[in-house]
Amino acid sequence: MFNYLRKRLTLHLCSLLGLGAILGGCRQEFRPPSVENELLVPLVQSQLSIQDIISDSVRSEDSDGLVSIAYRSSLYSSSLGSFDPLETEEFLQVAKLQSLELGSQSTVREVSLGQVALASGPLGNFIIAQNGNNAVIPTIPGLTYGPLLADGSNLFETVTFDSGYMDIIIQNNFPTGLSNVLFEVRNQSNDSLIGQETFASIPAGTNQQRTIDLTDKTVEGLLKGDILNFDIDGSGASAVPIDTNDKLIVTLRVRDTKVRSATAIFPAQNVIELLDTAALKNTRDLRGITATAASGFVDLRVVSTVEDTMFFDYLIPEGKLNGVPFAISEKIPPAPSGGSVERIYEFDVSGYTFDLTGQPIINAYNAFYSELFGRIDSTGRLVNLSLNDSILMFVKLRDFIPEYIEGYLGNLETSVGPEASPIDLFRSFRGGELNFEDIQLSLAISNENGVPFEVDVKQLEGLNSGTGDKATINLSGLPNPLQIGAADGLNSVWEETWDISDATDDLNKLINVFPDVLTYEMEVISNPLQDSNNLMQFAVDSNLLNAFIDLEMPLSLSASGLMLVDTIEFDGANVESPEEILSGTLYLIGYNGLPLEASMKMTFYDQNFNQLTDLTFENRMLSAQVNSNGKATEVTKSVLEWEFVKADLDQILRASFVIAEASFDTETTDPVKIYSTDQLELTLSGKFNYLYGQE
Amino acid sequence: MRITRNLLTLCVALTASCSVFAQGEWLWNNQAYFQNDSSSGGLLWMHFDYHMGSSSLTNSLLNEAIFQAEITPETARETTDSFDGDVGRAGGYAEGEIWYRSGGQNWSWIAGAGFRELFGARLENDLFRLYLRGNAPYADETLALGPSQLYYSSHQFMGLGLERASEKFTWGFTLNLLKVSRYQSVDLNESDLFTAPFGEFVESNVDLTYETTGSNEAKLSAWYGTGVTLNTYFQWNASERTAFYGKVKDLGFLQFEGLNTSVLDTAYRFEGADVGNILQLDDSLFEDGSLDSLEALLGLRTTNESQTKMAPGYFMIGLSTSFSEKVGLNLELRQWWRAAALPQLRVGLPLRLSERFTVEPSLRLGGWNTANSGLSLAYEPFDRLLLVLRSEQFENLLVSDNSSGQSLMVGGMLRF
Repeated sequence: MFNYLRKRLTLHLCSLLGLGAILGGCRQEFRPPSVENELLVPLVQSQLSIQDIISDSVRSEDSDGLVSIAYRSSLYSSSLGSFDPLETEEFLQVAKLQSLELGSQSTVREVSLGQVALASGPLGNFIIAQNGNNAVIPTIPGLTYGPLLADGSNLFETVTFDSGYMDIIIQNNFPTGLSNVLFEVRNQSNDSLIGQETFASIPAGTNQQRTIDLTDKTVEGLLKGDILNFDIDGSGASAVPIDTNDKLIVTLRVRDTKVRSATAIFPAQNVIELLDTAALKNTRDLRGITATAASGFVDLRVVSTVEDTMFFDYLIPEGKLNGVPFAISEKIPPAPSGGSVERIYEFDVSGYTFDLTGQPIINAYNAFYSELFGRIDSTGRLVNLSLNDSILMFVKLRDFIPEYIEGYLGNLETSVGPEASPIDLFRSFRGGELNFEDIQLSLAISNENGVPFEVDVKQLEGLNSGTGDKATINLSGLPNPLQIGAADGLNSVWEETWDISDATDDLNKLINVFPDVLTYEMEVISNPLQDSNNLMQFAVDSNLLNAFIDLEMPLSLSASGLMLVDTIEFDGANVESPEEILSGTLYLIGYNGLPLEASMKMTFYDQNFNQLTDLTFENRMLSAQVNSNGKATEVTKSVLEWEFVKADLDQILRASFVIAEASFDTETTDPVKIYSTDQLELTLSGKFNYLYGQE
Repeated sequence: MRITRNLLTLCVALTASCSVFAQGEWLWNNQAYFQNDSSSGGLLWMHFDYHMGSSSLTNSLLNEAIFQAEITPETARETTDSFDGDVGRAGGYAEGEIWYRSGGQNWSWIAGAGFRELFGARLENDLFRLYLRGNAPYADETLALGPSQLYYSSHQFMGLGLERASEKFTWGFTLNLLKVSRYQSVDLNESDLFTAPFGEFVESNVDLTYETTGSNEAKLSAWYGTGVTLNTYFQWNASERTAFYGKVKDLGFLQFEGLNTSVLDTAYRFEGADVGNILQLDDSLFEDGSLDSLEALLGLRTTNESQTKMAPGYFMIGLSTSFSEKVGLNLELRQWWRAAALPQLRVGLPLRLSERFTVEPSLRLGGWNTANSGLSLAYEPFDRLLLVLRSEQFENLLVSDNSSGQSLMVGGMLRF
């Protein structure tokens, strides 16, 4: 006792002194004591009706509220995307320079009477002596004069003409007429003759013109003209005024040229215009007249031998996006002398709608029309161009997947299967027995495209891939092959349903397999009548040919040990302050208006699916009271309990997954009916031994 | 063991039936214990005082709460089982002060500093039950939670004043500047809580006002509010053997620039979080973030505004008389305000065993608990030094399960 007193007294004296010291200075905060007590709180409340168990999409009810499952499982689905991508071959559009123009070029040269006289000997001296006088000029034959040099090298170095003309115009301003004038033009560099023309008579004060045909002739920038002969007719008996400055004017004019090749300064001009069509391939027997690209590209490879910058425009006038034709405007740099330059372009044509009739060149299908224009610009530089120069356009429509296509869409026969199609209606079912009073099974096919089909269902089977159990569905009631009509328009669907079976016993066997897949085999033929002249068909990539299995079951059933299992992802780290809960009891309070009784269990697993602990409510949720018609008439209250300790909680909080199991039974094998108004009201509450305030 | 402790408690209580009161003030200790007048001359006085009591909470529980920082389920159950009546009180304080008085002929100036932590509660016993044991033991019952009040404050102060002494009458006052480092107040009006069996639902009516300062800063540096208070006192030596004295402590106000105030006045029935489809239940239910919406659902209104509050304090009057040179009587009547305490009477019987040593058994009635006995020791080792030790720990030491108050004070005075 005294030891006890001494210890307590010492404790309190020390506490007081410590308290004073602490409170007066840097004392600690008073820490509220931890208190362990029992909290009893509702956690979650909910109402569970058949609407919560069966989603709206598969649930229906009759006028009495009796609920039916109308489940549709997709069996097969095919879209336009299953077509191979359409392509064109890389077609070559070789565009040579169709014309080269240099425009009209002229040069003028003059010869004075004095110059001629100086070159004409004694008689010429006489004429010079009479300059300023009136004198009789005698006939002087056989005179020559030249050369007259012309320099056009600032415009071209050399030109070979495909066609063209050189006009020679001689204006005679001498005091007497001239006759037998023989004039020739030669290239200075090699003295090659371009042309020679004779003027029989050129009276004084007049001009005469002769023309040289330049076809196939090469003309250089430096020319020389020679008057190989001319005769002075003389003034006869009359004296005429002599002026040695009187001139003979020679004009050389090049016109109407088509240049074959030239090293020249070319003016701006269009040099290519090519209009053509390209054909699609990979079309099998498809005859497309219009297609909109879901995706696709125009590949353009350009090879140019033109030694000038080439500007080109490539257009597909009937390939439009939002009303704007597909058009490419690019330029390709000058090719090196004697060589070529290549450029590659890729253009996305997604969304473009193409007219595939090939109009205006042809009016057919699987083709499109395009235009190519090339031009050069005036650069002021001497360049060497030839009509042999070309621009090669390699054009290809690649990976063209239509999202919409019109025309005859082909006769294609496809064998499908054996294929497995998932069915999730029984995803959570793990065992037990379930028997419906009435079941209907049917096959529905819908066609959203304007193409007729024929479908022949060969085999249909339900399979539980977990257990290996299977049930074959008798197809004898199905009028195979099924004729599938075309949709009338873009926004309409052709659909029809065929009953497969209404044999309830057989179908209950199928259901009690709890199939997770349906396996099937079928043959699908498009355009079975092969009416290839029907170009009014259409297909949209997103429109499908669908086959469904329809299962309809009014919820008038009996169940025995029907086990539903679901796996839920769980993160215990999200649970707030769990360490304060030491132990407790969870209560599941149910007011059951459903004609089923149930038991529940949750098993918790870690990330590697190692079992940690389980939560099992020992007793069962009792069924509602049921009348002789199988209808629930009175709600039954049940309280399910689960006691736990902190170790259980710790395990739960480590969990990453929860497997929830529920087992359902009807009280007897007589079927019960589930109505939309039946529901289970649930409250989950907990009594927690809770430790407050522990740090 | 239990019987022995109870017998000891009875003996101590009998011994204390004629005790002298003791208090931490420089004028009255000499008078109360040695009938000496200390109204003149300079002096230095300091004391540390700790007191706690409750009409509902036993010392056993308080000891666990304070010194072990936990309340065991057994103690909680014993405490709630022993509740008598509907209302319980609890309160206490811890304070330390140091004062200096100059040695003037008639007028002296005085200066001091100190701190005080004060806690007081007047609670419905059902609220104690709810706090100590939770609501599960009271399923299918309605727990009355109000009216209940709870108050807590912590402050440090500096004081400056004057004391006037004459032959028979001495009086003084100080003006104190308070630095408030904590303040909390809960007012719960008529409120109740009903828990359905198995916790199917919880129903409550709550009318609550909760005011609090922050608590993030350490108390020494925290300055959440400022107070100005007045202490005033007197001692009248009516005769050689009899003196009366009185005191008003901390009459004034506390000013807060921003006091967090939450007001809740609601009738609420909680049936659990409503889950539309329990088949889609996942752990998101347990995630944080629902508090805001819960507050909104309950209609909790929260403000932070400047407020002025009355400072917690008390007044007291006392009588000290001697029947002989050896035996005297000390009486003190004290009333706290803002601390949910009842009037408190303390009776002390000083027994002067020698000229320098006095013992004083005492009995305290009222306040936060019903009755508590104590023993004080006063010792003058030499003329200028007085030491006082007062304890009301006897029941706590002996029968902590059945007692409900405890107090301990040490003080000393040096005269010069």
